[in-house]
Amino acid sequence: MHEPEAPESVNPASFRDPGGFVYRGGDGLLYRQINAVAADEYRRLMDSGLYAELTATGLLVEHDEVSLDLRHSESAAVVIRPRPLTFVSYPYEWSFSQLKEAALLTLRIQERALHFGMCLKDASAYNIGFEGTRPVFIDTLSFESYVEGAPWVAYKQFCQHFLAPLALCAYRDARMNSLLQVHLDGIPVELAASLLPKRTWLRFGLLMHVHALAAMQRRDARRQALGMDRSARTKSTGTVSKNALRGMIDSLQRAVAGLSYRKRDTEWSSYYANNSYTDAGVESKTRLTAEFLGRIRPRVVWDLGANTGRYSRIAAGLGAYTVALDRDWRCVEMTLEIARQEDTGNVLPLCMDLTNPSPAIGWAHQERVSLRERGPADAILALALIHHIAIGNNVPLRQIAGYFAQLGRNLIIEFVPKNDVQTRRLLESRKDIFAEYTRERFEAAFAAHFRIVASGPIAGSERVLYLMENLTL
Amino acid sequence: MAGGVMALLWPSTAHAYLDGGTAALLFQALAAALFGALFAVKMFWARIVSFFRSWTGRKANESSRDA
Repeated sequence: MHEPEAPESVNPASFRDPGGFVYRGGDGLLYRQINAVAADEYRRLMDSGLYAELTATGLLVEHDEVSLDLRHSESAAVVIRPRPLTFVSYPYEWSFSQLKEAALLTLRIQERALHFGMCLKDASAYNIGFEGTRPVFIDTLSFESYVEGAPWVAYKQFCQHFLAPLALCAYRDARMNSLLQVHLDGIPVELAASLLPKRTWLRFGLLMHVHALAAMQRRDARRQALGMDRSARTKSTGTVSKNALRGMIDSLQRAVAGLSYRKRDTEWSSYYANNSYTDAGVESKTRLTAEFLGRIRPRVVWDLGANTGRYSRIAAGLGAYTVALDRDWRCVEMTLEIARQEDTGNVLPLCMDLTNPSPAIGWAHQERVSLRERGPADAILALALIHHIAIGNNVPLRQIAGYFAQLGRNLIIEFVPKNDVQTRRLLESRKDIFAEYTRERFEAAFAAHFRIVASGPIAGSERVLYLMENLTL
Repeated sequence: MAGGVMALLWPSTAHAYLDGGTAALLFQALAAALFGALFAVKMFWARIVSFFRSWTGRKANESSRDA
């Protein structure tokens, strides 16, 4: 059946740079229009050898130059079609390691750019995307000619998007990362400076690029508020030589590289504890999951409550690009580590609380899209999850079914009955008000949106694994 | 304000749409000497290390010839 061509739509997040923007063409593909004002810089990126090197080393996203007929508006000088990401993710969804790697990637690109006479004109964390376990720079328009003597205009942005949140995660708590969802242009260095412990003054990188910078900004803000004249100061400042800039980049690189989450926060063994499953149970669950996935043959899978990614890897092994979501950042870190060790490149682990998933934020609520808007997935895995949401979070089964029906075309879901050891653990310290939480009610709730295609028992327990087809999508 | 400063001293970078922040730009200019010196030391040290390595390499070759 022929689908009518969709109208072109400019990406609602792509409006700040007059040099160009990203849009979806009538063919549904992603394009980037480069306007006349930015054409020279683009040519320089391509002709200087910088593009060739960055794409050869896998640091920058590749693109094809396409016909100007595909332009969105008259101001276009060049139209390119970049290779799109399979799933868009945002810095507030990344674990510590992912943000750290994105930071180091940005600095490496800046260093290479300087080598070719160019410079990054912005250093936002949104310039980076993850394709599976690999970070890649996706903003081809971020490059401009380096002007000898000019300070780095993106320096402050780098400190706010990368250094400040990483320092807060390393020195306080990894959950500080979620501040990035509220501060769309990064955590203000003054805020980070006020939250970091005093011992960070002893680290040169943090002393300079967080504390000293924060002091400078506070002073400047005070002078501005008092109406003091700042122009005299600016005229007397010197220039920033290329070596000074390279020294600064090197210093930032050391500062980021030296940050790590505290080892005592990682008690991995507790996450591997599948102690409520017998070996036969794990075997039957694995077999059933693989069998159900084999029947769907999904291209993209979302594993909800993925824990350490055991079942995400099964989906990935069957060829699906798997987004492994878990609200515990330690699970996300571990999923990432294992996926890399086993060389499973098509798993993207992300931090996500399903009872409070990423909302749509930014200008006009449209710059960063919600989780749901990034779907639907071909298949959703909801294993060892439902009891956490229904009982642990008091969400009625009907509403869980309704939300899952918005997320994926197929559903592989494990029903964990009330007499199961894990569910009983959730009810240990509270009153059992969950009379509705039964297998029959579960099937009825999901039947409102799904058709149960198949089911199978998990050996050694009363759990049941279901394969369901979404009737509403 | 930041745009004004930038355009005054470094006209070509006026294309940058980002506000670099007056304080952050000033900070870089003030700290430039320090970072320049640190980088020079780093490059100098790297040269010393590589020189030292090639020198000990030569010595090792000579002593193994004598043996």
